[in-house]
Amino acid sequence: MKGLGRTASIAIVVVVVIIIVAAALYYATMKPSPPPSTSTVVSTTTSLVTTTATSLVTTTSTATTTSVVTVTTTSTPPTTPPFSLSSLLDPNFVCNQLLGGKTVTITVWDTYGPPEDQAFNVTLASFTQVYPCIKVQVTRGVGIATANFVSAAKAGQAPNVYRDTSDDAGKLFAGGLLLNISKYINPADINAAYIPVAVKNFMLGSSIYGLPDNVNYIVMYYNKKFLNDTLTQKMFGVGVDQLNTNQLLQLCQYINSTYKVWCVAYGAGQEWGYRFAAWFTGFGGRIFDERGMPQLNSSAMVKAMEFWYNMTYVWNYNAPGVTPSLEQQLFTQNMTAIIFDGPWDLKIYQKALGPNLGAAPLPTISMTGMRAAPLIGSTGWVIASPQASGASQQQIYASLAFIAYVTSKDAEMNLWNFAGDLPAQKQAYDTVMTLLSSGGLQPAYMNDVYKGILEQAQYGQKFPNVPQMGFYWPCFHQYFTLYFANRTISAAQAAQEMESCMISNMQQAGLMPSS
Amino acid sequence: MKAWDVLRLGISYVILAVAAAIAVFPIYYIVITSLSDIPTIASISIGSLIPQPRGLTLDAYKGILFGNPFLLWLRNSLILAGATVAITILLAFLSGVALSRLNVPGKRALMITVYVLTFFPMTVTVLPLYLMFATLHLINTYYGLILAYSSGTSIYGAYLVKLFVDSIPKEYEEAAMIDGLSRLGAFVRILLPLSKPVLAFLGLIAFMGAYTDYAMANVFITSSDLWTLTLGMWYLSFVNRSTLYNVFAAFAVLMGIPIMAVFLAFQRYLTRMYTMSGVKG
Amino acid sequence: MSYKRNIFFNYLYILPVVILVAFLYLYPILYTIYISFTNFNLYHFFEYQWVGLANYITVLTGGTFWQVLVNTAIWTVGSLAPMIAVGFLLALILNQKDLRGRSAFFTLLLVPWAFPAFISLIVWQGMWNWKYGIVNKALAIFGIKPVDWFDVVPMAWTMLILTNLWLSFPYYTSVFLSALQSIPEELYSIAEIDGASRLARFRYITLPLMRKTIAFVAIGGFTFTWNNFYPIYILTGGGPGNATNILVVYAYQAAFNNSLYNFAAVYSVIDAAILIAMAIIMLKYSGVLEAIT
Repeated sequence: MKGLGRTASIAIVVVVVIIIVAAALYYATMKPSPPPSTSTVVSTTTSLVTTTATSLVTTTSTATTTSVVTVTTTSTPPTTPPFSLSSLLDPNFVCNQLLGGKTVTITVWDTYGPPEDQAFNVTLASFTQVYPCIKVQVTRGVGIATANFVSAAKAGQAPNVYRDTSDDAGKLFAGGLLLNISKYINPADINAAYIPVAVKNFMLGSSIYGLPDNVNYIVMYYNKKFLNDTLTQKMFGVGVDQLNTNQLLQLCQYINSTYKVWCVAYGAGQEWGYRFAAWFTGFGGRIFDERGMPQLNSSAMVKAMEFWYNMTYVWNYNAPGVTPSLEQQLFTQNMTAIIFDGPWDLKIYQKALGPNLGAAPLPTISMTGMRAAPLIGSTGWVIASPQASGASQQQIYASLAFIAYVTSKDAEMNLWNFAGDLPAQKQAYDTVMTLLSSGGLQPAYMNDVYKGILEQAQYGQKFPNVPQMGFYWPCFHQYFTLYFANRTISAAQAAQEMESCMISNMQQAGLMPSS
Repeated sequence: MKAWDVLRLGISYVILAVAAAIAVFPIYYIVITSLSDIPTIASISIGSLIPQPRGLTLDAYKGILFGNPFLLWLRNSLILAGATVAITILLAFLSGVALSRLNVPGKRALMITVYVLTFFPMTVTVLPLYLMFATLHLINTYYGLILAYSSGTSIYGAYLVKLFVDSIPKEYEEAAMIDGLSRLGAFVRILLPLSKPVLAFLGLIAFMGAYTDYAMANVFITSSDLWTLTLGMWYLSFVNRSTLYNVFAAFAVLMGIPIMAVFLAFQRYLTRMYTMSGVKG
Repeated sequence: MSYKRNIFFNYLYILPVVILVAFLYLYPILYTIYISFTNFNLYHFFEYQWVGLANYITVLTGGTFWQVLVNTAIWTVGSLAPMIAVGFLLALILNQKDLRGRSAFFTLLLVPWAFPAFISLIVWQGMWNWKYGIVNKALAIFGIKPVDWFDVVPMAWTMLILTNLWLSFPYYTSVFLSALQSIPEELYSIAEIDGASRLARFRYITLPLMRKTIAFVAIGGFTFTWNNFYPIYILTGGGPGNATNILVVYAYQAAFNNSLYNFAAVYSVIDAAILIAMAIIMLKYSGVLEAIT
């Protein structure tokens, strides 16, 4: 009898607790919960969201028609989208016409690091001054390409404005998390205001989903103690910026035997494919074909992998087993002649090497006669879709003004001045170019360094931002590391596996292009 | 016998010395890195392990302490860790005592079920947890994080307390209850002081968990007023695509000091948490 | 006070912890189980469909999953055995009453535990480097050729397990030490008078008394190591290839590298199911279940 009562009370208590908790959670989490029947939530915002989601297909026509509209209405800016970029930069128009004199608050996730944040602070202070109608709540130190944005978007609490890399933002846009900006700002204006490669970086199909603030890519940094124009002129009759891989090999032979230092420190064994893409393209490959199908299973991939394997383990020109941190250490301590890195680390190298620091484009691949072509990517400001952030139309308008302002000439000049970021805004870019060509940088040797960095831009490739690019990194990493680890699998196998890995991920994600 | 003792002690000292050296070495490594003027880690040669006066600088420390709200981050971390310790100890003590002393039908099934729930890997459930916290307005608050930190340690702690209390004779509280104390009063007056070692141990684990966490804080805290030390460290050390290892290391040293202090203060409890238990277990 | 009312009050003691855990785990777990049956990913984000068992079939019929599962077992067992052995050995050494400076040594041995693990792991990554790491430099003193710790799979496992050992042994040492110290001194003195050798005293007094403690600690360590994310994530990221990947890291990568939340959920569900089954078997088999409930 007692036993029965005990069992019964266990059951009752357990069931009651679970029911109470489950019910509480169910009611508490009604709004963002996934059941397919939450049509009420969707319907409130459909007008904007559905157009964004299908914009891949449809915006070609809308984009062209909208640009026609604005050309005819330059004198009095329209108060319905699309707006001209200049009207958004006019505080009077934004505050009085667009926002109707009301004060609007927007939330911003700032993904700048400490030196860039100093520039951003200056820009932000002047923004709040000239746009008194827009209150900005800034969250600092957010990681770029963070998963938190996705979580917040799922909860409908994404920030209005976010700064992201162009390729990560491409995925977010494809998922419907970001606003199609070309519906709100004249595409023609955007094309006119920013350098073409940066605009292309933020373009999926014909939709533009962000305004660029900065362009980045890798270059070849070298230590003039071991390698300089005088040496290459004497050996091959060309400058360091005109080398090909055969010449590089001879140089490496020379540097190895003369100075007993590494020729190159490139941690190929840890690659996720960002830097390797330059070599892959130089050997004649491409990551995607026109349809967006991966093209990694090619002889170009095999040859590029074999080249770096030989550089590392056969010829011993490249330091094996290094990480990006170790590459830096070797380079800053005069223990390697060459590394491949971007402008973001320039200050570190300038401090360590001083006038011995050189920068040049990556070499030409002798086998194909083509340049190794780094991925040219951008970072920029994007706006969350209303479904992701719950933004009102006025908040969207205020966000547009904000991202136009933080990517304007002055803002990008601030970034250049404080952090040395390469501007994506045309006037800022031109200003920097003029400064460099007149040798106006101090110390003077930095003019040459920047010239080398900018020269690389001619030989870059567009950063693919189709959503399936997200699978390139892990799939490349997985099989390339296997090949590089004592050739656990052959290069041909690795190339084949990479591609099928990407395809199976695309199938799992439902991203196969329709043929 | 005598020779054997000398040999035994000798071997013991050698093993302890080697183990202690290995245990401490990485920390030494961090200290050297923090004093370097070049943001890298990993030594090029044995020689570079001995700091050269030329390359020594306190810049990284200065930057962290004077250029940033370090004290604010420290305060936030201590609030989170302190509250987590308090909740963990309270819940673990209550449920541990109940498991050991009270007649709670089905407690075994209930507690095992609850324990088993914590086996689910948090790395993936973080998305639904975020959705739940977002609806309950727990994002950007201390409460959400404190609850999250306390859950795992309190359930684990309940078992530790239970094991410990099992070894304390029941007569202790019974005598106190005859003297007129209520049952809860007897637990608090008699069992709580006796359980100090195990609670100290638990507190230590809870403190470490909350104080060193990055993953959860990164998800649930965005407002910089609420940043913890780990978030501040990440912000200052990982810039663009590069890592400023000297800043990272200096931050690690500054962050490690409070933990070391807590550990030293609590160390004597670590060897007493089983003082009375374990034997009967 | 009636019997029933008494029982009700007794529940109040354990209710807080039950509610706390249920609050934090129940909804996320149910949600994760739910999305493992859907096509929810970044590209089907706001609207997604029920796909039944399709995800599970894809995972269970693919080869990688089984490789990762085997790796998880290697990682857990491979880490746990040396951790317990070293922890126990050091505890025995520190428990010698005639040893001087015991508390000083103990303090030094606690250092790995007292330092944030993710920081130590980043440092260890540099120390294991092939050409420039301090580990290989130290081995060179003994004439051992540099080992490529990251690229050779057995070496990568060795490195992971040794690093995990460094991180974890202080915990095991202190738990075992305190358990050893709780063994009444009289038991040993009586045995000594009876003429039992040191080995016999260890065999017939220490080990039996420590059995439950070791089992309890081992099971706790097993469940912790099975889902221990940081060492592998920071040191090898599961590489080369997936050769050192474990389920919890693999699930994380599926979610945050590939944005396939539904597959991440599948891995988590399977991971938890296996772990729960094993934990229950071990608890029953070792008799710890009776001790802790």
